[in-house]
Amino acid sequence: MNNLKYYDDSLAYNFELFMPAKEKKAKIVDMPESPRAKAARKKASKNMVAKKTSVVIGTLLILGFLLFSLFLRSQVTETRAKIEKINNEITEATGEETQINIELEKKLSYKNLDSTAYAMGMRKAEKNQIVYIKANEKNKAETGSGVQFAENN
Amino acid sequence: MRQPSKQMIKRMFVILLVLVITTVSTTGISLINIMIVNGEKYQQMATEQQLYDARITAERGDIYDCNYKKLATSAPVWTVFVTPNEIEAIKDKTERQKVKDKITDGLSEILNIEKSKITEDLNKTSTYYVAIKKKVEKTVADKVRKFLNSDKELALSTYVGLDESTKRYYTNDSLASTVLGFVGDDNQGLSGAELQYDETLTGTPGRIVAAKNAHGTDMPFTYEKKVDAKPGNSLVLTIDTYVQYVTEKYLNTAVVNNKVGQRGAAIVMNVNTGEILAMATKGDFNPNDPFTLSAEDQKTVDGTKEDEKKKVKSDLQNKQWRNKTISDPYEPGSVFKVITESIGLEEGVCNLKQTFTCTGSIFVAGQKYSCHKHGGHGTQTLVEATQNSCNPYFISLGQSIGVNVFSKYFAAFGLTEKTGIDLPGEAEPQYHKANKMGPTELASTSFGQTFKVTPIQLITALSATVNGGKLVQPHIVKKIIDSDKNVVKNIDTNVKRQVISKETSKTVSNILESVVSSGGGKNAYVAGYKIGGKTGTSQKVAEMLASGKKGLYVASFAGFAPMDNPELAVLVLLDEPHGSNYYGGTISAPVGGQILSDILPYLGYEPKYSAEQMQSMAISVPNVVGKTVSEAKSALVSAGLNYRIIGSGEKIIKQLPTATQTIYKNGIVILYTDEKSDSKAEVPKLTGMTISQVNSTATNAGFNVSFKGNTLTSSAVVSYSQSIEAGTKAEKGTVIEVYFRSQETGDIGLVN
Repeated sequence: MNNLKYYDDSLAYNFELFMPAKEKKAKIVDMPESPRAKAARKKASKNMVAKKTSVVIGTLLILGFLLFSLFLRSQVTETRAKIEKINNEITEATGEETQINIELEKKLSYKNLDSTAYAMGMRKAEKNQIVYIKANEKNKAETGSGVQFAENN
Repeated sequence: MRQPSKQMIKRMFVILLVLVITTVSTTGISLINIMIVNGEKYQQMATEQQLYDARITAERGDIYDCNYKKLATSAPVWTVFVTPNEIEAIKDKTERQKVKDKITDGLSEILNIEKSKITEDLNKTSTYYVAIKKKVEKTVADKVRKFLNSDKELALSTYVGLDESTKRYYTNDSLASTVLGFVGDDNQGLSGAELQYDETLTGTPGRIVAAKNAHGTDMPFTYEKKVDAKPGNSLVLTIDTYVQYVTEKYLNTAVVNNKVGQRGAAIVMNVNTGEILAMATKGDFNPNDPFTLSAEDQKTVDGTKEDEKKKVKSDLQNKQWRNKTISDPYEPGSVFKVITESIGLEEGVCNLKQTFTCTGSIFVAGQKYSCHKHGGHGTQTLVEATQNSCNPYFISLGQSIGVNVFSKYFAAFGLTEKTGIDLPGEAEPQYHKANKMGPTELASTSFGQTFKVTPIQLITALSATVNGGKLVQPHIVKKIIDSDKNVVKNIDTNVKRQVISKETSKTVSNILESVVSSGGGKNAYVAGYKIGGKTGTSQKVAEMLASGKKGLYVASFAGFAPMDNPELAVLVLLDEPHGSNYYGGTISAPVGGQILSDILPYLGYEPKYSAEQMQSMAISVPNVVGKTVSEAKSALVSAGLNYRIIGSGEKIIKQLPTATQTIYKNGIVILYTDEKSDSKAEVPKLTGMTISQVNSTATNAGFNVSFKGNTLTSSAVVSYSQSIEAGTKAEKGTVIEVYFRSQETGDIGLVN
């Protein structure tokens, strides 16, 4: 049985028959889009944009947050370092103050006062040169060092 | 390909199983070992590796006197250290040597250390940390910092560092050193109040725990836990710096002048509260530099053999740190007669009217006891016997009291136990127990020999005889305060017991007052005040027998004031005086008088002068500066004073003594009328003279004198000290203080 088909009734083989069959273009008929579908399409499109935007914004936010926290962290570290430095300075200044006070106390010792006063030709007040005041409980004054003095009554 | 046989698969499975089991079990065992068996060890290792853990030293509390004057405080200092292993890590040999040389030269100059010592330290190449100098103060530390930054190229700060620590400072150097004590290298108390109250002063250390990163560097803020240190509490002592200063000043002078061999001691105590206002031992030490000996002691060390030097030095250091007032028991001698007398009066064994005749000696159980007055005091009352310090009288009184009663009171006066004073090293008394006390022991104890008590035990017992009969506990700390000066604890008066009645105490007080006004304690007289006291000169019998030496005595004086209502007690003792005199009444009583004379006005006790005393008072010099010569002359003459004019000017530009200073009637006031005029003269020797001799010698030399000490009670007084040394150049008209004492005192206890 001759299955061959002939082209234009010629004896030539119709080789197209051996070629891959051409796709037949579907005849698409543009149907008019329904308003509902149109709205859905627009919504989907918008959603897509929103989604992309939110991803970008989210990424930016996370990045920003990370950068901000890094910045904060650096600020905290810097502030702490400053506090530490100031604390050290305070400790050193306090130490220096203590040293100066010690020197002062040494210079104001009774031994030094006595020898300096004698060298300057001074003498201690005689007992009869001292004026005594009598205190009452109401009229008292107290110095910063806790020593109480009384007012004349 | 040939398929594995079933047997082969089985074998492989077994092998794999064994491998898996071995691996799992090995891992399991290791885990058990790491987590359970040696869990703690590995945990600690991990902690050490991952954590930075540092202790924060608590600030040591301060020590104040009763007026909040700082006596001891702490301030930051630094330890200069090197890191030899870091230097060794420098690859370039030339550079390494350069660094070493630079460090050696620099630190040697700044820290004043031998170069060889620094080189030696730098050569400890396997060591990470070598302290070159400890307790370096800020000025020096700043120099070291500057030096480290001077050569950036060599990066010296990599190899040299400064560690902060603290140093204890004592603001008044040796003042009250045996009371305050001192601290060691780690700021731990080693003696005195520093040791007794070490726990209170130390505080609670804090801690910092922080994470380390992979490189082992600290991560201070990220993972840090800090527990702040709690500073130590501070002590407020009962010591008054001024009273302490005065006590030490006069005690030291007496120790030097009387060539005292075994140091001197003195205590000033409030008889009602037991508060110690002053507690002194001379010679002592400087707590800022406690290991340094006095020049004299150092000479002794230098003079000893090389192999003995260390021991001698250590002995002398221990001696200078010892608080003689609480650690060295001694035989109190005649001062103890006050206790015997109190027992006798309280028990009614004696009274003020009863008499006794002293013939110069007394026999007890065949033993002869002599009186210091060999001819005897004759018939005398209790008051006279106390004034005369008559041994036979008190031996006889002791025998009348009897062993049992005597021993009961001896214990009641606290003389058989420690006082419990809040200082370390209080010694136990050495005494005859009742069951071992025979008549001879009672006899010698009655006048203060053959038993030993510490000065603090004696002054505590004596205080009970004048304060109404209460035995109070002496104490050195008044209160404990925190770093904000809030009171943490108040130390109140602790009355242990009533020993004698108020009436007996009053009687004893009156007798003691008479001892100073007209007895053996005259040299403690202070014009304007009622002073009581008793002198004593005890023989160091045991020491004399042991050493074969003769003339070893303890000269002492116990004084009380004001006698209307006694509040202060003073005890002065000079151990082994080798001067011209060794009697307590002659060399110790004046010290007691000098101390009381200075501290009574300071503490607010107003002097009350008799009409006779007022007459002999010095005159206040009027101010004549700026006046014409004639105006000045008439002002001085009308004040009863003499004058001498230096210069040829018309107006007075300077006067000496200056206005308001006091001099005696007919004293000289030098008036200067010329800027360039100079009238300096050599101060004459004014000791060993009577009052009138001193007056004329000083006046002839152009100086004024102020008479101090025992000048009003007796005419037989002799000067023994002057405020400006003889031979010194001083401006004419200057007032020289001259101290007097009588020589007629005898208060020695003799056992023949």
